[in-house]
Amino acid sequence: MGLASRTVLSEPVTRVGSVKKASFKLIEKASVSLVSLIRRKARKLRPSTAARTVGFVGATTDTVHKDDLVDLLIEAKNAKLLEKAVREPGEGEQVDRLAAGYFSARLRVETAEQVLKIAAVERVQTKKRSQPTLREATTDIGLRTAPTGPRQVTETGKDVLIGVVDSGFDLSHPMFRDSTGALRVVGLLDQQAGNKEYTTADLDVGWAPGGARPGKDAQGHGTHVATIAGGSAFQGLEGVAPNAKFLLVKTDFLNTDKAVTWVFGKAGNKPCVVNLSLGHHYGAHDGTDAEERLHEQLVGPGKIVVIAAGNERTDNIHIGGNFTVNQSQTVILDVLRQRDGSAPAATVTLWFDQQDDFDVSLITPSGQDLSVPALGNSDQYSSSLVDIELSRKTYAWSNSVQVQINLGYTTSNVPNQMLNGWRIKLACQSAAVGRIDGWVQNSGYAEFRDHPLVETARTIGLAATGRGCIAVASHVSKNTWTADLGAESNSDVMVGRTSPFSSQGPTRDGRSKPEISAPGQFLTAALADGSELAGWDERADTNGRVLTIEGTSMATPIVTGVVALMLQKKKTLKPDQIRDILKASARHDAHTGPAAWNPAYGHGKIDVAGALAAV
Amino acid sequence: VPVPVIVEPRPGHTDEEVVTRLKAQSAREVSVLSPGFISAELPPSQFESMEAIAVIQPKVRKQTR
Repeated sequence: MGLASRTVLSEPVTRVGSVKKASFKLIEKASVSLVSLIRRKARKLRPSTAARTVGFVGATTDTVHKDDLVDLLIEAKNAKLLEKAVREPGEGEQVDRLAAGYFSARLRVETAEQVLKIAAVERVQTKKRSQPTLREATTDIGLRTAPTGPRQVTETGKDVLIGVVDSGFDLSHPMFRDSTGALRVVGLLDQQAGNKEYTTADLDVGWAPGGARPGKDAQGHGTHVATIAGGSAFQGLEGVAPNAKFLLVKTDFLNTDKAVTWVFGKAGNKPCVVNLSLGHHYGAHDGTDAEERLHEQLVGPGKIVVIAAGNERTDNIHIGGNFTVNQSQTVILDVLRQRDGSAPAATVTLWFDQQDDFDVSLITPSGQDLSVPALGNSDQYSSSLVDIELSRKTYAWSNSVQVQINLGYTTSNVPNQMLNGWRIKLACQSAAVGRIDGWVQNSGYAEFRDHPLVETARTIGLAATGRGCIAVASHVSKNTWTADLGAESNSDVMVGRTSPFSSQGPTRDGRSKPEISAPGQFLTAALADGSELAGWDERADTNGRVLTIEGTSMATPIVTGVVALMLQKKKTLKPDQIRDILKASARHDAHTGPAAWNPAYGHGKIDVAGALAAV
Repeated sequence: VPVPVIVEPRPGHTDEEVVTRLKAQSAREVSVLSPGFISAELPPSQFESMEAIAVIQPKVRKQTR
């Protein structure tokens, strides 16, 4: 491979632009007295059957009385002190131990106030009367006919393992524990802590009050994802497969290949479905990436991988189109500042058939024209602010040519005019196939300006483009939820329609992916205590320990849960059989249209009852 | 600096041969994930020396969806 190194750029520095993408809001919460919360909550209630069974009992007027009963979840280091405080329970009062350090209690408000004063009590929260739940999602997929109705299928995921590879997991959350309080996690691998493995016993110790909390979820994503797939019943919430067991990987986001291999290795002969609500766009998008081919090899009877399609539909990270000989187009690329303050960097890969030939050149913001070298070569350029690498090589796995443009800034202090206005010129010299496609490596690094070549199609990411997995799109099942700021809604989306962010198919080689669509907007599931997402007041209900967020990340564990139910019914189902069943049983409606497959919904909306009936 | 890679033996070469060569090239964390797929951490400067017997693909950082 030839290599030429030249210094050709000297861009002036004039001013620094503003941050282009907002980061999550992290707002210091006001200290709110739990007693005042209890009282405020009780005042809102009217006497009803629901209140008597799952919420407050005896709140018959607009004023709360010290003898009113309130349902609480209590975390306490010292059980004896707690038991001492309620040694002589009043009428209707009861305390049940859920697990080490966790208690369910129905107490008079006056007793609750005494409990709050015990030093060993770390946290007390009221249980919810309402159900800000997965309920709209579960009716959407046919798991329940009414939001609060019974499950329509007998399968619960029993004897099936759900693998989740994600940001971490808050195992203090009751949704990871069964009705006896026992942890439902059979193993955890922490790739961010030297690949340390934990057994259930290790996790019991580590997640006891005062423990080290192995696999802790600082972000909040993994906790939410896992409990959508298989969370235990909790305040009206319940995952799709609440009796499945978990194999969890807190990933380093690089070694996901090792993570999936670890999960299937631990599962042994037991049926297992792995959820990957992760992805990227560095690759051929034709199922030939090494990790995608690895998945093909790892899956088989009773071993399934489910992957999120991606959220990049409208992120302008993809260009693609058909060319005739001598046709040329120029697209503009703007590099984005990084939210974490690191130096901006962007990689664009362009792919076309080896029978074709495209001249590709990068024109700098100051107008310098840099040609991508001939096949098998790489050129490097540098200035005081940015290093550029241009290369062209053959990609044997799919008889393609891969052109790569790397832009690596040397500092985060880059003026806007050096970030914006990069131009990529594509000129077709030979066209047996005539198509070229390009992607920025992932969302948040760079974006193409609007241009006829910018497509919303083919925005499905890797490894969802792999042949071995089930790729999942997202549609809207509700647009209202409850959070710390109260009742929230989003009128920009329409219930039933595809989520506006949901990445679309097909793959670059024309295969029909995603396979299926599931509810991914807005889904309420477990909130990881103290996580980044817990600071998002519009979405987090910190007292209720639930979070409402959206993404194909949330749609994917719905499908993972359904696959777990299918594997409970038949442990040896193969990926192709699952795919065929999901396809044949998929629901079509006014939003999906009648087409057998479309880029947004795949083969349609998932229907759990239909899928299980077909197993 | 070693980077995480997936290494696939070229036709005519075995996993064992590639593992042995990787270790000789000071690769770290070498493990066979599944036949034909080896995970390792390898300095980019060593890629070229492996090219004759294996295809090397650096692992890509993923984002949550």
